[in-house]
This record gives sequence, structure tokens and C-alpha cells, in this order.
Amino acid sequence: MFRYLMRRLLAAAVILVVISAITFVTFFALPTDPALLACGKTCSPSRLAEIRHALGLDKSLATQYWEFFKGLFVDRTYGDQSITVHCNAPCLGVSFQSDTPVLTILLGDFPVDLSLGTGAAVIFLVVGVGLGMVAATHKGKAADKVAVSASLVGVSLQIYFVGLLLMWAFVDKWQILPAPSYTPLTQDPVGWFQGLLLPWATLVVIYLAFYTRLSRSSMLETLGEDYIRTARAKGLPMRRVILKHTLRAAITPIITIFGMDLASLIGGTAVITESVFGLNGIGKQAVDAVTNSDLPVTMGTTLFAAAAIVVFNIIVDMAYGIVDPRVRLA
Amino acid sequence: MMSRTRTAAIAATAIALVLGATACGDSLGGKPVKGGTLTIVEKADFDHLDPQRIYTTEADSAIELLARSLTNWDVTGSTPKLVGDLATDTGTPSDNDQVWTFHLRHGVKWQDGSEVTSQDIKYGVERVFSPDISGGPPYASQWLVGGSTYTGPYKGKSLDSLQTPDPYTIVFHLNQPVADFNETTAMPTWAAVPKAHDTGSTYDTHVWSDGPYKLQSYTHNKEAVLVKNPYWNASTDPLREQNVNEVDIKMGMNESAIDQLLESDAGSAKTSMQQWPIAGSNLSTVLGNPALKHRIVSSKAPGILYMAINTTRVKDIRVRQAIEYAINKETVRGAFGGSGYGDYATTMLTPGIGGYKHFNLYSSNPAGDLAKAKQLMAQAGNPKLTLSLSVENTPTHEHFGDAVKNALNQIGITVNVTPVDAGSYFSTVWNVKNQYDLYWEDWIADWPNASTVLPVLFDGRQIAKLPQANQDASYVNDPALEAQMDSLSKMPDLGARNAAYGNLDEEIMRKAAVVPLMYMNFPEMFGSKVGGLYPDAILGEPNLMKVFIKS
Repeated sequence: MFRYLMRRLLAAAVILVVISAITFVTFFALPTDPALLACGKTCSPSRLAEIRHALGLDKSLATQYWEFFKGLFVDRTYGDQSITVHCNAPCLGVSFQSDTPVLTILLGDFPVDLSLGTGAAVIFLVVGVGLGMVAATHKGKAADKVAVSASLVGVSLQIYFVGLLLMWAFVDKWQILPAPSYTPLTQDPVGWFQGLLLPWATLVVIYLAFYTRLSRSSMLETLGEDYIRTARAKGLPMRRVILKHTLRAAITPIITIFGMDLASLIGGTAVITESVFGLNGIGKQAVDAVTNSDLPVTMGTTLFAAAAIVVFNIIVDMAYGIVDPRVRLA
Repeated sequence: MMSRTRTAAIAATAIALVLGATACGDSLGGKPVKGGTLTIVEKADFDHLDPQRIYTTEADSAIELLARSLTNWDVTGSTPKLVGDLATDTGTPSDNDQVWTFHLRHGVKWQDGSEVTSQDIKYGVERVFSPDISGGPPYASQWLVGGSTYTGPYKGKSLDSLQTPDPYTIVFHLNQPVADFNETTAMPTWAAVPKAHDTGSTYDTHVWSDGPYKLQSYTHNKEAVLVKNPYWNASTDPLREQNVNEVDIKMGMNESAIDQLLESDAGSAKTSMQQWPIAGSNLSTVLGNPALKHRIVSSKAPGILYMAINTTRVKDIRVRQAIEYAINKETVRGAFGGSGYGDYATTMLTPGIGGYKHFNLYSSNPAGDLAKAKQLMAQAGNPKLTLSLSVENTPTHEHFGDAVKNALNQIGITVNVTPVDAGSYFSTVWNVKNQYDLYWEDWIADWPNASTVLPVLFDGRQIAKLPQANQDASYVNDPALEAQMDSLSKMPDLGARNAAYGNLDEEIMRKAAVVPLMYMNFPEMFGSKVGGLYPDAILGEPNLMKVFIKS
């Protein structure tokens, strides 16, 4: 197990280096120039050159990337004019826009995505798998049809529409909930819950159908297995057959997808939800960084999202070994 | 100078302001009340809040609460009036408008109780020259003697053309006559910054206040909280009041969600306001709702939306004239949200600009004159043209592109609409290497004078001088026009200068190098408990200087 984990972590590091190099090169292939954006509307060539130097963009691409890479292991100091910014290793760079170390920015945004992603994921996993189980065990009956159709309606909707509709109903019209916002859990648990309820509900509506359908089909497939028939023939209670024997075997593909979804949400893919509810997590940070040609933040958010996916993939693989006795890690 | 819908401080002079800057509703809200928290809901973070780096209207509006400029605009009267802010008056020109002297008010305090001096203003202006303090307007570096080689105060050097003979006097030595220099000094670029509290390129989040509020916290992309500055004294400030206890600026909410929230006027929305215009898709619905009329503040005609024609690519003036006649301004305005977005334009100077002259050289019908357009195309030999039009990659702009495409299709011109990333639109189309024939453009002047419009948009010398930032999108490059612009900037008589600018506008329009489309409006909503919001056609934002929360 330990050797397996080490091997996976090493592979993950290689993947992240490759992703960072691709992001870096892609950024410079874009038709935007961060120095020109910073320079303002009436930018003379000499002023542009000064700003390019101040941002470190006058160095060769290879030098810039090497300095970025080196910063992951040793401290860096930025600036030679108005201010010097010290960036402790692991240094992901300093934002062109705000002169703030990228890691500080990411750590500030991370709790938003962690709360948003984890809360929503727990709900859509539990409810989705629950509905899938009900549908599978009542195949062809009313409960099956209702569960599947209701979730399908959800997936057909757009986040913009669902989010604004929920806000209109619960915040603007009935005034049951406050306007969504992020309050740290440690500061005010009730405010945290209330502020995130609608964003969670929006994500759940969108993701639920997928988990319902996936768990339904996976359960149905497992329910048709010989060992399930044997278990039922031996007189095991239905509840035990479903929960212990069927669900445990059927959950493996769901775990795979869930790991990816949770990682994506925590890594900032819920950018539309963030934007609709004004939550400002890593997703929105990434979009703003691209818009503002803020290379260090673009690199940081991309690497963070990639790292989340890679780490959760490893966790999912480890979980297989626990959930499914047929899987052995070596 | 500024462009784009929200990257601008806005100009409007007396004429326009009588016509124009209007509160559609009851934005003033009666007698000021003390207390409460005002929430400002922003679509995005400010580009900068550092006064020397600000070049957007929403930041310009917010900074009025934190940093005072040398002069400023009093918008409480029927027409905006230039007054002294940190200065006791609007400055004294001498030496043919090349030397400007300002005397400062005594007793203006920083947030730590120390006094604001002329040295602080000198230091603030010097910061503009540092490459780390980028993004702001270029006037200081353009006009101050020695500015072309000075690189800011951070390496111990100072700029000799900024003189401070005593703590309450500052003298600016300019390299050319600038008759409206004291209007420039109403921009936050000319605000004071205390050297001891300058944090350089991170000053955005550490602005040191000499206004009625101070920055309690500012987290980029999330929230800025402003609380009362205990050392601010109303007797030293003719413009501002300190009514609300706190101003909470929340950033990053979706445009439609902001509109929906303010429209509902529910809960905290009652004490909230927006600083971005109502979204184009919601504009006609909101403006058509009688229940919302008293909660909208709108600045009329603060800028011009137009289509530039690249005259180096579309060389035949008859084809360009045909385009002028063929464009259907009704469908174009429809793409931007209808009549609420603005009136049809026929000139490049808006009714709010000093120098504006009403004239219309082309179709009197906003829907265009196809017969005339076809006649001109026939005179040009009916060339089979395919032109590329650059627009921002937003649904609104793509609809605008379709409107142009359909109109020009009817006179035999095929238009390929090219959406360009909105974040880098101007750096793309203002690069002289761009490959477009037609451009969506807009422009909002920095202060109410034609000098911040026509020379910026039609001085062909910038094509060579600023190859990556050429704002002469139509590539008009006429030495006779440029000579006129140079001589106008030196005319001391305001009336004569304005009249000459009006004529220059007409002369430019004769070249059919641009199609003026709309004089833009920026309607914005506020909650029912917000009062003291004066419409501000200079800023193009509701003015926050006297804002209060109704009890």
C-alpha cells in the first residue's frame, strides 16, 4: 500500500509539472499582454518597457518558468521599485494585479470552495444515491418514475436560471433566507449554513439527476448478479441484501465520479454558481485572472484545480480497496 | 481618457447637465439622517483603488469618500460647478496657462490626525511616474516639465516641475499651455499620499484617508469596508458629508442577480445600491416598471458609442458615406437594450461636452436611408466588399454585430463579425497590427471638454507614437486637422475654443470615418432607504458624497 501511494504521488508531481509548463506556454500564446493592460489607455513604448521590466516579463520564457519552478522550493523576492514582496516557498508567484502572493490569494478563496463543494456534494451524493436505490428497488413502479423524472428536470435546467429563481423566491419574494454570502464556519455556523443553502441547492438540482441515474443503473446491474440471488434465496432480509451486498458493490463507479466531481467543485469549477451568488472562490479568481492577464494567479488557480483532481483520484483509488474487497492495491 | 462603458470618468458641461444628468426618481430622499450602513453591490472588484491608478468610474466614485483631489465638481446645483477641494479655489494660471498655482486649505487631516500638506500632493503626483503605479490617466506624465524622463519617487528622486514653496502652496510647471488644467486636477490622480504610509503597488488596499471615511478592510474580489474617519472635519470640506456609519462594498455578484436583488427591495437591498449600469437584458423591463421609477438614478449622455471605419482599409469616401447612411441605429440601439441606453447620436461630441454643436450630416431617419446609401455605392462602382467588424465577445455585442451585418448586407457589403475577448478588446483593436475594417468603440471624456475627445480619437500622430495603444481607430491622419487641434488646445478663450471644437467635430464627420450611434446613459438602481444620491454626469455614477440611510 505504501509503495503504491508513493508511486502515485510521484506520478502526480510529474503531472503537475507538465500541467504548469503547458499553462505557462499557453498563457504566453494568448494575444493579450499583461504589461499593456497594466500600462493603461495611452501607453507609450518606453512606459510599456518599464512596466514589462517591473513585472519581470522582459526575461526569456525559459528564465521566467525556471524562476517560477524554483520558487516552489526556495523563497523569492519581487520588485525593485516601490515595494519588495517576499514570497515564502512554496511560492506560486505574486499577482500582477494586486502584488499579493498567489498562495495567500488561494488560501483566502479555498474555504469558500471547500464549503460550497463539500456541502453540495454530500447532499447530492446522499440524496442521489438514495433516490437511485429507491428507483432500482421499485423498478418500473411509480416511485422509480417519479425519482428519475424529477431528477431529469433538474439536470435540464441551467445554473443561471436555477440560482436566480431560487434567489428570487427565497430571498426577494418570500424573504425566508438572507442574500447568499460566505461567512466562515468558525465565525458563525448558522450564518455559514444560511448563506450557502441556496448555492448548495442550486448545485444539488444540477448534479442530482446524474447520481440518481448512475446509482439506479449500477444497483440494477448488481441486483441481477448471482450472489445477490443466492443471498435472497438464503433468506437474508431485503434491507441487508440491499445495503450490505448490493450497495457496496454498486458504489464503486459512483465513488469514481464523485471523487472527480468533488475535486472539480473544490478546485473552482462551480464558477457560475460562485458568480450568481457572489461567493468569489477560486473559480471566479481563475476567470478574473485570465481576463486581467494575471499570469501568476492563472498558474496558481490552474495548478490548484489540477492538484485537487490528482489528489482526489488517489483518494478514490485508495477508497476502492476499502469499499470493494475485490480490489487490492499493490 | 477613458473608454468602455465603465472605464471612464465622465464629462458633461452645463448644457448637457441641464438636459441631462437627471435622477429619474427620488434619489435625494429629503433631509439627511445620520447612521446606518450603506451596501454597494459591485459586479467585480475595482481595477484599482489607489488614487493615482484609478481610471474607472466606480472606483472614482468610491475614492471620493477616502481621498480628496485638488479640485472637484459640486453636483448639487442645477449644473456641476468646479470648486476647490483640497485647494481653496480652482487654481490660478499664469505664464500663458503653463504655470498653475493652488493654495491648500488649512486643517485638513489625515486619518491619523496629521495635517495634509503640499508635500503630500507633490509626492502623490510623483508616484504616477513609477512603473509600479501603472494604469492611471497619463496627463501628469504628458504635461509636467521633466515628466518624460522621471521614473517616480521610490529611488529618492523628485520632480522639479512640482514646487512646494510652503506647506499650503503647490505650483505645477507644464510643458505646454493647458487652459483647463484645473478640470484635470479634479481627477484622483492629483490626490495627496503621505510618504510614510505609501505601500507602493499594494496601496490599493491600504489607501490612507483624508476624506470622511477610512478603509477598515479591503479583500480583493470580495469586500471593502469603509468606516468614519474621526479626523475628518466638515468645516474643511465644502463637498462631503459624513452621514452613514459604514460603507460596505461587496464585489463579485452576477449582474442579473444584482438587478434582481435591488428590484425586490427586500431586506438588506433597501439600504443597497449598484455602481454598474442595469444589465442590457434587464434594462427595458426595469425602466418600464413604474414602481421602480423613483429608485433609479441616471446620468444622461455621458459618453459616445460609435463604430469606427478604418480609413486606410476602406479608402473610398463614398463607400464610407454609404455606410453612414445604411446603418440602422434603431436595431443597433435595440441590441443594447433600447431607448434606456441612450439617444441616437449624430456627432462625436456628446450633448454633455463643452464644444458640442448639434448637426447631422447623414440620414435624418435613425433607421437609415438605404436609397441614398445605394446611390453612393453605385457612384463608387458597386464594389463587392467583405469587411470585418470587431466586437466584444458578449451577447449584446454580437447582437450589435448582427445589426450592422444586416444593414450593410443591403448595400452589397458582406460583414464578418469577429468577437474579441472583452478583457483584452481594446489592447487588441488599438494595436496598429490589428486586421479589422470596422470597430465597435465607445468613449467617455475625463472632464467636460472636447479636448479629451477629439484629439484623443482623431490625432493621427499617435498611430506612430503609440503603436500598441492607438485610439485613433479610424486611422484619420490629417496634418491639417492635427494643426487645428494643437492650436485649439492653446486657445485661452473658452467660448471661442468650444465653438472651434464644434466646427472641428463637423469637419471630422465629413470624412465619414466614424458612425456615431448613441449618446450613452447609465441608469442605476438603489434601495428605498438610500438617500442623498446626487446624479453625477461628471462621474457617470451616483455621487456618494452626501449619501445617507433613511431612518
